[in-house]
Order: sequence, then structure tokens, then C-alpha cells
Amino acid sequence: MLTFTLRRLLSIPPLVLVVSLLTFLLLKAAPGDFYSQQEADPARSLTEVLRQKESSGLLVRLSQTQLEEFGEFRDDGSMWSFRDDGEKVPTILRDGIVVRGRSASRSLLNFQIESTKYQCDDEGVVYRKVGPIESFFSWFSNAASGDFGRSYKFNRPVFGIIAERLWNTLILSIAALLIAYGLGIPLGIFAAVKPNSLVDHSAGILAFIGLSIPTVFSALLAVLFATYTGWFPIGDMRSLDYDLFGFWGKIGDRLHHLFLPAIVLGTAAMAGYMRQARGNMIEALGQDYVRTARAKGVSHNSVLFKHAFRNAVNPLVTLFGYSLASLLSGSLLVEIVMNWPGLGRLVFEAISAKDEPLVLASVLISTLLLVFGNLVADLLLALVDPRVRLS
Amino acid sequence: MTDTQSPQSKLPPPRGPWEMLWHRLRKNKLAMSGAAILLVLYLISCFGGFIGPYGSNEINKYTVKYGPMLLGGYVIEKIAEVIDQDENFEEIIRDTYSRKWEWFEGGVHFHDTAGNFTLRPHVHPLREYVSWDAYGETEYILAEDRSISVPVSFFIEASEPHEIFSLCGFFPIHGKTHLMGIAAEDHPTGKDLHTGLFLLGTDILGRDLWTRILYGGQISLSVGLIGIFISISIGLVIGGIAGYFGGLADFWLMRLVELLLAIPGLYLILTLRYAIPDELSPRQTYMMIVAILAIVGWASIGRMIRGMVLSLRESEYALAARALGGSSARVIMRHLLPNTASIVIVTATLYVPYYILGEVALSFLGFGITEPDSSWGLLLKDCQGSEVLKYNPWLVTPGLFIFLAVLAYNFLGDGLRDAADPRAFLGVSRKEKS
Repeated sequence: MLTFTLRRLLSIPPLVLVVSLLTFLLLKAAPGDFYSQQEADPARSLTEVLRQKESSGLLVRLSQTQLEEFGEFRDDGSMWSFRDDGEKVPTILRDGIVVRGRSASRSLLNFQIESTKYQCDDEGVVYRKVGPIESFFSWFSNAASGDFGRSYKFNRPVFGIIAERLWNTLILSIAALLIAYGLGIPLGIFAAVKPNSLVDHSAGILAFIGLSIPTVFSALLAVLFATYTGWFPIGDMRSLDYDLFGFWGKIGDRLHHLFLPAIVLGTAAMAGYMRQARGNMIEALGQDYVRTARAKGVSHNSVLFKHAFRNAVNPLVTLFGYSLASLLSGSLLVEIVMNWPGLGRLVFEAISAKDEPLVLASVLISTLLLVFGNLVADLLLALVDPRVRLS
Repeated sequence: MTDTQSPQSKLPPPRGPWEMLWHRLRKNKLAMSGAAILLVLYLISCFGGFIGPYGSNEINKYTVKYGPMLLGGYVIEKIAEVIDQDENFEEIIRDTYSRKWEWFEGGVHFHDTAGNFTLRPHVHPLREYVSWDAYGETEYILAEDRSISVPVSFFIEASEPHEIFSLCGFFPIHGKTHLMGIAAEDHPTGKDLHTGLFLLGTDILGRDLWTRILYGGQISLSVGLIGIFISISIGLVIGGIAGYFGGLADFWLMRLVELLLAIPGLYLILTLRYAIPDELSPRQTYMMIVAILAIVGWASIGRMIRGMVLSLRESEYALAARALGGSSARVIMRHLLPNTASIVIVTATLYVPYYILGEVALSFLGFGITEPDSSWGLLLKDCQGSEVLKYNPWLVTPGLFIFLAVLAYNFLGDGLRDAADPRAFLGVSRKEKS
């Protein structure tokens, strides 16, 4: 088991490397970036936007001498050349016409020499676009020392933002899991004890509904329910006047906000646990040791809850590692529909805004959580069930 | 099947494995009802242009956000009077209206204007009432004019030709007929009257929701089928190669599978979508969604097939095939993969919902199908925001169709699994998928 754990742990660093490279390349393959909109915005100063891009590591400023080394080059069918007119920045000519420098129109200038792309602001400062592989290595060397970069949108280190949101998502997922266990296992056990009863059949139908209802749909229904009854708040984690509440008031307020999203997120897991608990319990009740216990004259309840129940539920409880991992990614839609400030919504917003460092770090963190969750689940399963051998 | 048995034998001819599967499946009521629901859903989607009373993108600015006529209708109520001045500064009294939903009153009904019972369904025309509030602001409120009944006609001719039948845009058959609708000559004339047959209500652009759902089903339902087909194909090839050859190929292919499974599904889908430019034609968007879902989806199927091939490889018939000089390709294609067929079919049926839900998630988040096309996820996008939902709750109806489709696939898949699993016969409980 130790070797198993070690091997799994050792496989994590290469996985992280590949996942970050893959995500990075996908993000870089996308057309445009976070600043594209600002570049097109006439109200923003190009100089400022490009300077921001430089500080985000997307561009590198070229010095005068570097530019003069270019001499003449061809791009888009026009001849480009740089001329030193004794100004601070060189004059740029396109087919002999001045495009930067004195008497030139002011707009963003994009050009390409071989495979390298360049941008030039309206003052004539030329920047080189950092290529994907190069920027991956600089990102990775920073990340290796613990610096995952700053979010373009929030202009804060990504870790602080993610930690906040991850905590919210964890609260939601754990609450969903508690609901799933708390309702799913008793229902499943009850259905198994009385097979083919009314309870069993309705539990079976409930399980089918729970497994089939799309999260988007159930979340929308929950919002509809909340708007019509007014029993539950819609969106966010706490009320506006949260700070005025006492200690218990605060806890109550948070639980009040947590209730509906947790139910919506927990429905599918609950249905799964219910079916599994029922199946395991029926299997356990058919085992020889149950018959032996009955033959010895052990009371019905004791047989059910001491002999069969423990064997049926043990493997279920250890599954929480898998469930937590799947809930983490499954919460994205719930968070968006029910306005829960969690990691999923953060990723969605970051992707919409093309906030690359934030997307990259969020995907990495959630991947790590998923991998660790699965590892913990595997280990727990082996711990409680000696028949499972890890190799 | 011809009877090749000896004449003495009174036993029926032996059943093949598929026949046994079918026999067992037929006894499973849930599975059969699932299959029936799916058949109906696919059929009505394919014939969506015919069944739906309108075109897929027939915007009507006068009928925005009207409730489902199948379930009732809005009736106008005068709630107050306000005193206002007309253009000559004379005081006049204006009315403030509000509309009230009445369940199973009005809407689609079975009497004509005179109140006589008819077998032909009728609807009331919608009238725009002008409501004035105390500040002199006006608001247009759409409600039924119950004094008039308009008959619903069947097999009416539309002015524009449209697709009567299509398989998600392929093999279209064009025509002008709609199954039902309101004939042009039956439309009552009147400035404020807007007649329409809105069985499930209208959306925020005044389009008929039922028609949009039918057209949306063509996309949402076919994404599942095509996506699972591609995933299974990739899974069979890669799983087959990894399981049969083992060694380095197995090692690297399984690392690839682990990589795909390690990234949370929806995040991977969104990141893949991010890398693709936004300006796509509807057909390209559709292909892109299918491709993304298939790329993300094949991994778990491939791993499962690899495991099965790994164990089947050592079976006696595979050994025999190899001993007889069968090439690797032949052994894989002719002997190993066909033996995984029943499990592949069961898995495929149980996995289709993930593709349907994947399309729903993408379109709902604004990364998938876009207007003016229709898909069930895109239709749900309209209900974001509790205010919209509160006043137009019928906009969640497309979710009901998604739910029905997923439920039906689960019924069918569960039934297929029980039928394919011989242990189900012995009364041993089946192990649930975690």
C-alpha cells in the first residue's frame, strides 16, 4: 500500500506539468486576449494598455538598437522599415509612408516578422509579443517558486482569489454531500429492508428522477420555488445586513443561504447513494453470516443494524473522495444559476474575460483536488475492505 | 429463422444472444417505456417543422412572454382608475390593468364564439390592453379577449416553405404544411388583436416556445447520438490497441486517458471551447460541440474497453484465433471487439445523457448553440435571473424535455444492463455504477 501511495503521489508532478502545458496552449491558441477589447476601445490610451500588457508579461519592449537591427522587412505585402530621425523612438515606414512618428495616424499597429508578432503603440514604442512556449516556461518557473501570477481582471495574485472562492465551493460541496449521505443512505437501507414495498418502489422512482434531473433545470426550479414562496433567499452566501447579526444569527443566515444550492447539488449524489445503499444492503442480507446470526437467535434489529448495515455502508462512506471531486466540478452550473460565489463561477467568468492566469491556476487547483480526492478514496476503500488489494 | 432442428424435437429453436437480450428487455416495463419516450421525442423533433405551428425563428414583437395556452390563459383585471389629462387638458379617467393567470380557463378550449360546444379546439385572440399608472406612464398588457373564439385549423398551409422533416439539418424535406395552426382567414381583424396558437407560451422575443423546443430537440437530441458514436469509435480503437498490444502503447495511451480524466469535465470542455474562435456558422458550431464532447468523453469508454480486451485476450477462442494464424487486426476486429458489443451498447445508452447535458451546459453558458438557432440549453438561457423566471415561469419548460430525455435514456440503459447481465436472471442484485 505504501508503494501504491508513493507511486500515485509521484505521478502527480508530471500530470500537473502536462495539464498546465495543455491548458496553457489551449488558452494561447484562442484568438485575442484579455486586452483585445481595451485595444479596440478608442477611449483608452494605447500606450497605457500596451504598458499593462508588458507588465502582465504578454509583451516585451524592444530597445532602439534592437529595432534598427531589423532594417527592412516584408509583412502583408508591404515593405516596413525603421528610420532614426533623432527622436526618442524611431520613425516607422510602411511602403515608404510614415506610419509612426511625425505626421502619422494614431492607431494600434500590428505587424509580423517571420513568426514573431509585434505591436506598436501610438507613440511609436514597439513591443514583441511573447510566444506561447516562451511564456509557458516563464510562467512555469515562476509557478515552481510559488508565484502563479496575477489576475488581469482583479489585478491581484490569483491564489488569494482562488482560495476565497474555493472555500465557498467546498462549503457548498460538503453540505451537498452531507445531504446526500443523510438522506440517501437511510432511504436506501429502508428500501432494502422492505424490498418491493411501496417505500422501495417510490425510492426507486425518486432515485431515477434524482439521477436524471439536469442540474440547470433543478437549479432553475429551486430559484422559481424561492421566488414564489419567499422562504429562501436567492443568490449569494449571506444577507446584506449579515454584519448586524449575532453569532447564531450569522450561522443561521449562512445555513439559510446554503440550503437550496446544497439540495440542488446533492440530489444526483443522493440518488446514487440511495441505489447503492439498497443494492449493498440486499446483498449483505443474503450473506451467510446474516443467516447464521438469525439462526443463533440474534434479534431482527441487531441483525439489520449490527451485521448487515455496517457491511453495506462501509464501502459507501469511503466513496466521499470520489464524490467530493465530482461535486467540485459539478457545482459550476449551480453556482452560476444560483449566484453562489464559488470556484466554478470564477472559472466561467475568467474564461469569458480571457483572464488567462486565473483560468490556468483554477484548472490546476481543481485538477489537483480531483486527483487527491480519488487517491484518498482508493486508500480509504483499501483500509476498510481487506479484500481490496492496491497494486 | 428456418427450422433446422430434427423433426422429433418439440423444443423451439435456440435463441441467439441478441434475441435473448431483446426477450429480457421486452419484459422490463421501465426500459420499454424509456424506449417509447425516446422514440416519441426523436420523432417529434425530426418532424418539428411540421408539428410546430410556426417557423423556428418567427419573431413577433406583439406576443412577447405570453403563457402556455395548454394550461390556461391570462385574463385582464381592472385594478384602479387614475385621473389624467388629455391633449386638451381635460380631465379624463384612465384604467390601470393587471393580468391574472387562470389555470385551465381560456387558453385552448372547445367552444366557439357563441359558446356552443365543438370538437374543434379554439383559442381566444390576445388583446393588447393599455394600462395607465398614477404617473401617467403606459404599459401594454397582453391578455385574452374572451369574447371571441378563433378555431384551430389542421394541416394548414404556411406562406413560406420550411423543413417538414430533417435529421438535425441533414436530409431536409421541404413543404408548406403545418400540422396545426390558425388559418390566415380566421384571424380576427382588430388593431390590438394578435392571434396565435402558443401551446407552451412564447419566449422573450415572442416566438412560439413549443416550436422552438421541437427545433431545439433536433440539435440537443442528435448531439448525444453523434457524440457517443464518435466517442465509442475512438474508445474502441484506442482501448482495443492498448488492451491487445499492452506494453508501451498501453502505457502511453492510458496516461493520455488519465490526463483527460484528471481535469474536471466541465472545466476541460470550457477550456477547449475557449481555444476555438467565436465566429462560427451554425453547422460549424454544431460540429464543434460534438467534437469537444466526444474528445472529453472517449477516455472513460476507452479505459473500460481496454480492461475488457485485456481479459478477453487470454480467452481460449482468442488464443485459437491467433494459433490459426489470424493477424492482430483480425483477432481484435473479429473476435475481441464483437464480444464487448453488448457492454458497449449498454454503456453507450447510459452515457448519452452526459452528451445531452454537455450541450445544454455549453449553450446555457453562452458557449454553444447561439441565436437564432435553437437548442434546449439555449432556450433555458432565457430564464436566467429570478425576475424573468418569476413572471414567466413557463420558460423552464425546455428543462422538462431535457429531463424526460435523460430519464428515458436512464430507463433504457438500466434495462439494457439488466438484460445484458446474466446475473440479473439469478436474482443477484446488480452492482450499481458509482
